[in-house]
Order: sequence, then structure tokens, then C-alpha cells
Amino acid sequence: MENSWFKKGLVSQPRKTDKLVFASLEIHGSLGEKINDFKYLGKPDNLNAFDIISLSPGFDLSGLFSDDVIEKDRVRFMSKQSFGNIILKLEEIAKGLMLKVVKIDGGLLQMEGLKDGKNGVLDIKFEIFEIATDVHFIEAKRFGGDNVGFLKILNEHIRPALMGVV
Amino acid sequence: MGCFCSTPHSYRKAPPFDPVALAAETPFTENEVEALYELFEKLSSSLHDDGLIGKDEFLLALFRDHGQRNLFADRIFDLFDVNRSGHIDFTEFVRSLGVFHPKAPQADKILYAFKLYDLRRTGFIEREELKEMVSALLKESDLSLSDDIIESMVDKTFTEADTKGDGRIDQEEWKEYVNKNPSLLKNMTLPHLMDITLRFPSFVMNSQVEESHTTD
Repeated sequence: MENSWFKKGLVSQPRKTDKLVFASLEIHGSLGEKINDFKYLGKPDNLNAFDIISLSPGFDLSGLFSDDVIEKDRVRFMSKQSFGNIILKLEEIAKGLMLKVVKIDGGLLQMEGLKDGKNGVLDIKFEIFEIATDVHFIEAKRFGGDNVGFLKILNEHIRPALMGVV
Repeated sequence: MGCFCSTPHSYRKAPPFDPVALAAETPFTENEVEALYELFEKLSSSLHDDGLIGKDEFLLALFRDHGQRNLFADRIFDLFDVNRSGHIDFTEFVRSLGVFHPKAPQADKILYAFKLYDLRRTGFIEREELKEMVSALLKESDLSLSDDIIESMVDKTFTEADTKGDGRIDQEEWKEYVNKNPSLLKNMTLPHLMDITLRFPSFVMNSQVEESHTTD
């Protein structure tokens, strides 16, 4: 199912950031076996004030063209943690929930479920952007799978782990 | 009022627009303008059957909630409503959507975005307006950031954009800034407009003749 918002693409052109962040990352298979163990060299893009403003659904005119019920298939939140910590925690949570981390690139991380449901396999993409030092904006978007399950994972596991107060 | 034809896609009255003229001044073809009229009829009659899109009907279409408060939707509505009548008529609808067409000139999109952000219509984007918009976004998304962080983010962006250093962003500075950050215009293009005739097939071109037979 094509999603008009995703077509526009949130990822902006790569910009220079002052710091390169890396985290040690382990990728696990569905049975928990360790597949890979590598140093991930990645840096999230920065969001400037106009980027932030652009996120508003008030700018998304696609609702004019369809009658579909607007499903809340994305969750946004701020995380006052370093990029490295965010990646590590997401990987940890995925392992605990039997989700596979299948792609990591810059500030993008994808989690995939294993069980095929009514709407296909659960497929969540996380986009992480730097707002300020150790302050990140995260958007999780569901591309497959059950929306209720998606919201549950986000609200009960991921947000509590990442929102964290310093 | 004459008989209301029950055939689909027929008009109760002659369409009050000139598809040729509207097609000439926008990136739309005549067929697309007709398709947009179908969409317009639907949107403009959702709450009040007056042939105009009111603010509540606009919000209903965007959010499925005519009471939704959103600063940015307000700005878009204001820009659509060129003559400030409080309603969007069909001509305003087509002309504004034309700017969002993938084939619309970049310059039009750049100017439209500038006007969107110029909240108080001073001809400049002031620092306070930028901060106000960031705060509005955070509030509507249930996100929170300390005022310090908001201030420093607004400062950083503003300094980058306000190259003349006069405390406000003018159209020239905005153009330069957008050229350096093209993703800022992503909201200004609606891919949906490329297949509008598929979503709203219009039979006006053919049925105009038929209609004069059936209405008597």
C-alpha cells in the first residue's frame, strides 16, 4: 500500500555534522544467534527549524484526495539521549520482542517481525534526526503488519526506553 | 431549479468555470480541471451545500475532524483563499493546487512556501514567527523541548538563513536558503495531482450534450 507521506521522504540531503557517532552493533537472527558484530559508523541528519515545521500534518494535503480513514500509523517523540545509545536500545528491544533489525543506514533503522499477519509482516521504520547535542527527534512509521501491535510496541516498549530524562 | 438528474457525474447547474482558461494558467489539463471540479463539489458540500469550501469543510477533509486546530492548515487555507472571503471558491482551489503540481515552476513553490511562513504577512519571515511556528509544531505533536533548546535551534536556523543580518528573512534570502536545503520544499509538491483524473473520472466533456436532453 503506497503511502503518500513516505513518497515525499523525510530524509533530507545529508548535511555536515560536527560529530561522527558510532556504536557497536550486533545483529541477531530469528533464533537469537549472533549473525554479525560490527562497528556502525553512522550519523543522523540534522533538523533545522524549518524542517521541524514541515513535519506538521497541516501541510499534508493528501487527505483532500482520499476518503480513507486516517490511521495513526506513525509515532513521533523526542529522545534526550545520544545517537549511539538510541541505536543500542532499539536493537536491544528488537531482540527482546523477537523482531529482526534488517537495515541500518545513517539515521534509518528498520525492524521486521517474523510472523505473517493479516496485513503482512510487521515492518517499522525509524528515522532519527539530531535536534541538538544528545537531543534527537525520532519518527517510527509502520509499513506492514497490524497497527494496534505497532502502537503497543511503540508506547509500551520503545518510547519509555528512549524518552528518558537526563 | 430543473430536474436533478440521477445519472452519476452530471451537474445540477452548468459548471461555473472555464476549464480552458483554468488549464491555460495552471499545469493542469482541461480534463484534470474537470476532475478537480468533481473533487471540489464533494469537498464543498460536505457540511454546507453552498458551492464553496469553508474552513470547517477544509479541516474535515484534511483531518477528518472539522474542529481540529492547526496553525499550518490555517495558513494553507488563508493562502488558498486569495480574496480573503473566508471561503475557497473553485478558481482559488485550482490555482492554489496548481502550485503543488509536480510540474509547477520551482519559483512559484518557493514563493508560496515563503508566504506560508510569513504569518503576519509583513513580507518577511521574522524570528518570532519562526519560533512561534516551531512551538506550534511541538505543541500539536505532543512533543516537548525546553525553551533553551528551542531558542538555540531557532537561532541557528535564523542565522543561516538571514545572511544580511537584519533580523528577518526576505524573499531573496529565502530563495538562497531553499537552494541550499531543497528538502524544505517537499511539502510543496503533491504527487496525487498527477493521477487526479483516475481518482475523479469526469464525463463532462461527453455528457454536456446528453445533459441538455435530460434536463427539461
